Amino acid sequence: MTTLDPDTVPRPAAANLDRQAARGASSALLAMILFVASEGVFFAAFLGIYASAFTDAEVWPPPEVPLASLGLPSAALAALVLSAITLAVPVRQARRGRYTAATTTWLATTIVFAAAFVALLMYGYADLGFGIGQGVYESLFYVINALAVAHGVGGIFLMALVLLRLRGAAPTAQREPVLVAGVYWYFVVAVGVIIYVLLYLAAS
Amino acid sequence: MTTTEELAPRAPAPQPPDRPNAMARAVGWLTTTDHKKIGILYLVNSFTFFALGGALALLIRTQLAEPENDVLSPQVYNETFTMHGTIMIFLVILPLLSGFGNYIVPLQIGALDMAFPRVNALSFWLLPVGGLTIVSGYLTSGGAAAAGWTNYVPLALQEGTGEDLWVLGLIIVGVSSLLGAINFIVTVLRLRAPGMSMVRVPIFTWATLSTSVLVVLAIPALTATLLIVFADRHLGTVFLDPDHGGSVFNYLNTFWFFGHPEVYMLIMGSWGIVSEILPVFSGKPLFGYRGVIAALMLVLALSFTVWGHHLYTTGMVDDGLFSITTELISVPTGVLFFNWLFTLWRGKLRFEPAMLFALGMVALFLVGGIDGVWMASPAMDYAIHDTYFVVSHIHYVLFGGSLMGIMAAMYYWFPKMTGRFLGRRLGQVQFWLTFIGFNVTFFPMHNLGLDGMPRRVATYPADAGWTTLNQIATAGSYLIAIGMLVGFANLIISLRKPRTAPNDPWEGNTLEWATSSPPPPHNFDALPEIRSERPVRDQRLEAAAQPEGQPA
Repeated sequence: MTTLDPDTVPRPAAANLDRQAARGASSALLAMILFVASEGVFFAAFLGIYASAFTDAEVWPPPEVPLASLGLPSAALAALVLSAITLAVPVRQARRGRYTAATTTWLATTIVFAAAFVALLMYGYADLGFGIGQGVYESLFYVINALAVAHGVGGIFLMALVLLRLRGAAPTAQREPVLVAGVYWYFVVAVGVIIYVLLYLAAS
Repeated sequence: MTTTEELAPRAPAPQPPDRPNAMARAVGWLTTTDHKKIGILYLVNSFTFFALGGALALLIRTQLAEPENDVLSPQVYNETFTMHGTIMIFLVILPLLSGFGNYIVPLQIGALDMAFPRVNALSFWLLPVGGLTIVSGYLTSGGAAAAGWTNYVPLALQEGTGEDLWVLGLIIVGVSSLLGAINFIVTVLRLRAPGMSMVRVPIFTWATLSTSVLVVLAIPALTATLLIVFADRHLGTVFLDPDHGGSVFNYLNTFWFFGHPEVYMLIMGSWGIVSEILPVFSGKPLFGYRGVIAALMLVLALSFTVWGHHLYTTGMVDDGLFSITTELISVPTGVLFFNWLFTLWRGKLRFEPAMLFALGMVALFLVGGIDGVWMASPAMDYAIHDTYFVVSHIHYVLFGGSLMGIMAAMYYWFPKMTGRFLGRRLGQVQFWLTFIGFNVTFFPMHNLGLDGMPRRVATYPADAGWTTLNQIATAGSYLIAIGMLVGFANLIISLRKPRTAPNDPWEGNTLEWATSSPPPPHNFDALPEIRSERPVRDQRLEAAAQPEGQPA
């Protein structure tokens, strides 16, 4: 019979202490990976509809859809890719457990690029030249883009929260939040690239 | 021993009989992040919805007792079976299994709590919110949602506000399930006690883990489906509108990609429960512990490949392909049956109510499973698609399988949760009433289906020849209701009895029996050494082997 290490067992008097703070942090990364997996299936459902509409269509995109200009979406994609590159610095530092002033600087830069991606996508979205109800392609275009924008905004909020937490936090507490936000943002980047290929590149 | 005494909870201060701190207790329950209290909240919430879903079932059976009956108008009938199905699937069976999972999984792996206790509380509180949103459709002028739990289009596009509340409520319930599932997976993978390797994790915990993986990978497809319906109803999209290039298949494929893994979400927990109870009440180890885990994993993988069998008769899927994958899934399921039967073989069986319900589950789920094997054959399915045969099948699987397992769990773990035993005699009465009532209700539906009675019809003509079997089914449903009332009475009576349950009343195998009944807030004062998948049994045998051994 082994006795539990008293340091890891909350005593009865402290049983109502915040259990989350005690044990949640080390598992957050796994939780985010699972969440992103779930999000992947969510987007895949719409891509499945895209695939089935694509295979049924004789002309793709449908003839009534005006060909999109690639300028704005390409700029949005560039901002997204830049955000992925700048995020690599804080993520790598978090993995190695090294922190410098550059960590917060690069994370802040990532947020700026992320905001640029969302802003450019929304700007292009505002003036598409076709309506949401003209056909399945048009419905998919609007809905998938809107979901991407929503996820982009969510990512910006998440990274901003992490940025706030990094200020004044002990170096040991910095590792997980950066990695967690990183996993989520790389998912948004992957979605953004797929959208660029399927909705913009394929339609130009 | 000193450490243990130090850690032991102090005796609670004696309370005056009028309980002046009732308010504080209520606030304690409302704000708790303790997995055990949250587990009990899950159970209370789900059994409340169970009473509602059961009442709706009785309404359905009352309407169908006579041909051309008019207890319910056709529209109200549609609302009734829609809400019955929705409540039982999303607000009763899955949350009941989550409730037991919440209470038992951290105990079984020797953890102090779930990985994210506050997220856990959120997962629970989203449930009554989502559930009430769905049910609140009854308050709208158009009534509750009436497109069936599968919410088929174009019906789903034609319904009133009740449908929107249904969609919104289910999205909330889906978020609840997803957060809960992520929490379970992280808990099982990260918080196991020292020595508890994955091949020593109890089967119920394995089952909860695989259910959670299903939830993570399938619930988002449901969310996408609901979003598609909502967008088509209100945002002007045309995903489901064939006039504008949309297609019903955009709904069917996405929905059933969720919908078939969903049925495994509803049954795997029960498989886990039965795999815990049969060995304990047979006095034998579970036959082929690793085989059961392998079977769970195979079903988990295959369940994502079989959704097309719901679409055989549409002519739009490859019937042969989906038939093969569906028949394949009966192989790991069959393995489970042999594991259970060989666990019983030559065992010293104790027919406690928990064991009766577990055996009932094995028997009834076998019937449901064999129905499923038949229907996986397209030739058969073309004949019985959308008939009462399917209604019979899903009830043999979800009631006979899932709910009988849940009842077994209730009798098995109630002493752990409350320190009190559920009455043995009333438990047996409840079991036999439910078991007999169940078969009287649902077995005739096989014949009704073969006779061609379609499902989801509000009534039927007198000369169709379906009257007698329907009357038998209705009589059976009232028998089930009486059985459930006996169970409820048993619960109330037991809660007034003194706490007499010892730590390990059934001679259990797994860690939840190594702590007090009910467990202290921190779960364990001391853990036995974990050297197999049955640490509590190891400890018991060790104590018996040394004559002057210390009491555990």
